[in-house]
Amino acid sequence: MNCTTARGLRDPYLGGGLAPALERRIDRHLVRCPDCWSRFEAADPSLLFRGLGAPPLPDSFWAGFWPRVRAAIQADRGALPFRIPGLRPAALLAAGVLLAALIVGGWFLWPGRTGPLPEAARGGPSPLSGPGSLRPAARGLPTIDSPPATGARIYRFEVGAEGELPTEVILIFDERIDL
Amino acid sequence: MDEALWIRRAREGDLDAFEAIVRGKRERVFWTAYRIVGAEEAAKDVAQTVFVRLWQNLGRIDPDRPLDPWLHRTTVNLAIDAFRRSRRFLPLTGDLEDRPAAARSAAADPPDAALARAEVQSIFDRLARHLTAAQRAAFVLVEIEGYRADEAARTLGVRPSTVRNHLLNARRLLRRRLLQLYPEYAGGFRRRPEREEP
Repeated sequence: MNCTTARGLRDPYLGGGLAPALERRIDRHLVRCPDCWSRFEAADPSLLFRGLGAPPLPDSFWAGFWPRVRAAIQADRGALPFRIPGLRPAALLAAGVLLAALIVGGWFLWPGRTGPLPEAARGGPSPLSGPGSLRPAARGLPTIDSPPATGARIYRFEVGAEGELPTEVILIFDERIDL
Repeated sequence: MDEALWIRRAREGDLDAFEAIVRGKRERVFWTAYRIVGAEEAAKDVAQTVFVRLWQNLGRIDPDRPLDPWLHRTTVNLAIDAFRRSRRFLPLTGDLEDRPAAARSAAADPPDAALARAEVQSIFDRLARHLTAAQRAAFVLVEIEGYRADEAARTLGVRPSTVRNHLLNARRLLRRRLLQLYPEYAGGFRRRPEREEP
């Protein structure tokens, strides 16, 4: 569609008297032609709304507005991330470390999983029924016991510096444990 | 005191300085939100959220650059979200509602102008409820606030041609409803009988 044709159809277009297909052709022309766009725009009845502007509002309109904003700010002020330099990166780092720990822990402790341990490091099935009778694990690598009768899994490992008395840690996982 | 100084003081935690910023910007923020949301309380809620976000982001805002673009962009986007949420619950038909914002603005205008503005505002509020959020935002930014299509496109995060398409569709819908419901405001155009609205 050229400019002459489009401009000749301006009034029926603005009056809503054209077929939708013809309206779409005019639309496509208007989007490409700034001159026709301006001519159509100048006669469009929706120009009525151009004068709405932003009239001033009386002070009474704003009663209670600032106190609400201030209250929301003060509720938020505990965090004040922008006033403590380095807090946000530190918080992100801590969150990352925690997430990594959860992923690694989940990898080892997921139900039904024995963990990526070498076969030799696993303690093998044990007839044990309680931690008091567990065999001590070899230092350095955790062992796993899976009492066949209960379905529980028991992880054992030791912590402590070389040359010192180690502390044995026993983790028992059983979905039937009710704390 | 200039805006940059207020911002610097607010960044140091000075609530009085921040209140001065809020007082200086609240009307513009409110009206932009109101044009898009179409309800006074919802627009006030949007304005409140905008200023809380401003407080939270003061550390990232350059005091030496104008604050208005950030405020305007944030207001428009929050208002679009609020309008989309409100459309889920509000019927699209109904009589003209009481428009306290338009009515209260009358207090600051000459009586005739205020009445005319309140009437046009009511008509816009009624007709614009039928627009999509994107059409409404494009119409408000370009037709009412006077931004160019490319400026509105930057605010809305779309291409200028998309804004022009939204504008054409918004104008068409407003025009048809105006001709149908308020022909006395249609500037001499008369609705064609063969194009009746469903």
